[in-house]
Amino acid sequence: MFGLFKKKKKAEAGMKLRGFPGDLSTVKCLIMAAEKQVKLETELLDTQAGEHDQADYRALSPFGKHPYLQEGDAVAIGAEAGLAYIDIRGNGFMNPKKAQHFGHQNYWWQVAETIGTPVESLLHATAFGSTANTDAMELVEIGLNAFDNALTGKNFVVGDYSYADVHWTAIAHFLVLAGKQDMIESRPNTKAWYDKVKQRPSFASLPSLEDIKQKQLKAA
Amino acid sequence: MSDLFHFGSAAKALDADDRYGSDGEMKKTQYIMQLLGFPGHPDTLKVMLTAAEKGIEIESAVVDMSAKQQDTEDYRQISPLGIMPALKEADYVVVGENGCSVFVEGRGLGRFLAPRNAAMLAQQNYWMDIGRTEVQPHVETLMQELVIGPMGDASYSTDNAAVDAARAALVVPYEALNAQLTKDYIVGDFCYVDIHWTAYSHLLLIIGEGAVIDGNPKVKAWFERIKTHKSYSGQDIIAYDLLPSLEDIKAKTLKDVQCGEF
Repeated sequence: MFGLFKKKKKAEAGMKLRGFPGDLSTVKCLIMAAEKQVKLETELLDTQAGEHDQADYRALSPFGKHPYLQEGDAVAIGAEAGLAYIDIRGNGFMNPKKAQHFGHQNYWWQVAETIGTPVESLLHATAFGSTANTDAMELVEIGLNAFDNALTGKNFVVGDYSYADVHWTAIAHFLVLAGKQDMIESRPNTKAWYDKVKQRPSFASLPSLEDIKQKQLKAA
Repeated sequence: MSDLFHFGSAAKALDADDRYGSDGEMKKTQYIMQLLGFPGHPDTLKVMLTAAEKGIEIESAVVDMSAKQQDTEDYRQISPLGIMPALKEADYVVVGENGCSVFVEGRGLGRFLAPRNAAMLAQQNYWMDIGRTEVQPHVETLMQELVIGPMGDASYSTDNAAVDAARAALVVPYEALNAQLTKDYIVGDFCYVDIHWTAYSHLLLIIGEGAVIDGNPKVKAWFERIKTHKSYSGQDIIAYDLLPSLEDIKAKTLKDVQCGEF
């Protein structure tokens, strides 16, 4: 179903991503592709309109997971598989070599996943007028406070740029687009980190609020 | 405030005769690892299984989820969002299954558990993702409603509708796993994803919800292989044997991971 992956440099077909600009998982894959200098064509999967639940998409992704990444006959579904696939297809590896950094990278990945749903709902409320999940905002605040503490004395989350920065760049960008930039700027370490990631070329791959409203997905 | 990691060897004098490592044997780990978890919690079991597979010994202590100890100030000092489990080695602390497992893996013996082949790695990650989103929440619901809830409150009223919904929701992912299992293990060779689904399947089995396993013959056969799978790092142990029984969960006991000899 999704297991026919080819080794790096063997596949000649372009890599194509079906996703949605207001979806954190899609945006994380766009950042990873830009960081790893992997060219990515894109096609809209309008999850806001429920396309991921339609029969034709479910035939490709039985649980409706997205984004859907394809290169020739190779397919990776969902952020976890997609990020790993893009990482391996690109230059170098993004996982830290040191076990302690690797552990912390994955912890901050999990925290980003934990607060991701309410952050996404904030953005969707701004972009599409849906109801934001405000009940979970305390969780987001706790996560951001912990993140700010963890960034003390560091340029990036675990030292060098890693998967954790990919996840948190998407989170921070969505908060800013949702009009919650104060949640970033009021935390000095987070603000300094965000200023650094904004300088990276990959930041240009992120969708604007207008892109999201218009449901436009840029190529990476 | 109390230090939840102050247990086992950490609570003994440095020259205590029964302190870990006092017999002078060389170990891969310079310091004993300590785990804070709960025996009815899938992510705790994943870390224990990973340690056993990689030949890493761990001293364990319980954070009592039936009493919501993961929400106490003592635990939130370690894990601000209450994510479980938590692992400590010397002055290094890491939280959550994903972080703990890769740290244990990095410290452990033998080949890496994560596939090096891009095809298998992406498949592994997909099936771990399916496990986390399509299986784990329902296992946790069943565990909460049938075991943990009544443990913490004798007058606990089980939400039967939630139990029925969780049972129904597990059917499709287990059928999908059955279709995926064309080899001995989920994506071919034994790897992390087998550890994840072992944790879910074991908890379902011991709380009397094993029908979803028995009803899928390839899953059942895979699970039988898991139960006799010798440690990945070559130690003479079977990781599955460390997993708690229902009585262990009710008694709130979590075994240490002891790896013994090769």
